[in-house]
Amino acid sequence: MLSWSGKDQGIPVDLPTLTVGVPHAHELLAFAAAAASPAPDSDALAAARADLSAAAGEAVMVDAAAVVANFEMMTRLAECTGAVLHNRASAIAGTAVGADSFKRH
Amino acid sequence: MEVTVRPELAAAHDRAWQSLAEAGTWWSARQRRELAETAITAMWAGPDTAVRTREGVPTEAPLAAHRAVAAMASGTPAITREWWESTRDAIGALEYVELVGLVCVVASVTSLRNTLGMAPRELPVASDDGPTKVAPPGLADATLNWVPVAAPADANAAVVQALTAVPAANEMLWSLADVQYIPDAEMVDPRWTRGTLSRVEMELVATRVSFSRECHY
Repeated sequence: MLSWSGKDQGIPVDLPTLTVGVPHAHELLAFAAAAASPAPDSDALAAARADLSAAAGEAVMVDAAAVVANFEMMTRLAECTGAVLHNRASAIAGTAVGADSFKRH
Repeated sequence: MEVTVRPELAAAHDRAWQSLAEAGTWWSARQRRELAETAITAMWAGPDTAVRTREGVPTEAPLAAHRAVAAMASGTPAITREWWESTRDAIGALEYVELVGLVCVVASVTSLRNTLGMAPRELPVASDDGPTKVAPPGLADATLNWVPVAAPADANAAVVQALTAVPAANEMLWSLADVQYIPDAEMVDPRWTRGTLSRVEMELVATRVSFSRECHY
């Protein structure tokens, strides 16, 4: 979705280097990995929650949890409705982030 | 751990959670509540545990629907075109689309609570209301999705048109996305922020979750 926005606005977005210069990238990635279903490790999740809150504040942690929730939803939406990428640019972006190695439906 | 959730996010989740025990377009209130319960169990304890409790006992919704939401919520068995066609033949195409929306609500609300360390939430008591059976606007077969969509097909991205065959489910999905991720009107602006996460930080989290969920889309 970010890649589509960047294209629409004429702002280049380099997906493979998303973490470069991103504040709290390590804590955000650890938090998202610990929170993703199924059956997350509750101790790891609690630690990731505390780390992100300490680094960026509780409001950031809560909004990161909301983004996790959104993509727990959107991934199921795509999977269960057989959604496919709608254009070549999106397909290229998917390849760039290694999505081709994900399971095929 | 007590955390403060933005009021508009909390309100959207309250509304979505309540909808799980209200009549839908193709499923009754009792059926939707029962199916939501199965989806919740499947998401966090696996599909076998979720379906086993429904086998051999009277249920409001058919067992095929329970198996469907258990698979959608857990990803097991894998959701393939053959699986979709078989499930559609068992429960109906529009009934299927509504269940995708139901599972999306379950995934959103239970994920947020789990991630924030909040206790699981009880489902509301279901009413006696039956499905509205309001016929959708014109439908069309899509090339970007397996499921039927509101005509004209493929005018928008696959995820945008995915639930349009059941307008109530579609509205609920996007009302959640507006408060969890980015309001629809702001989607084109890569600099948009709610004042907490930047757009790039949101995409970082989104990409990591999608990777864990093995989502090709």
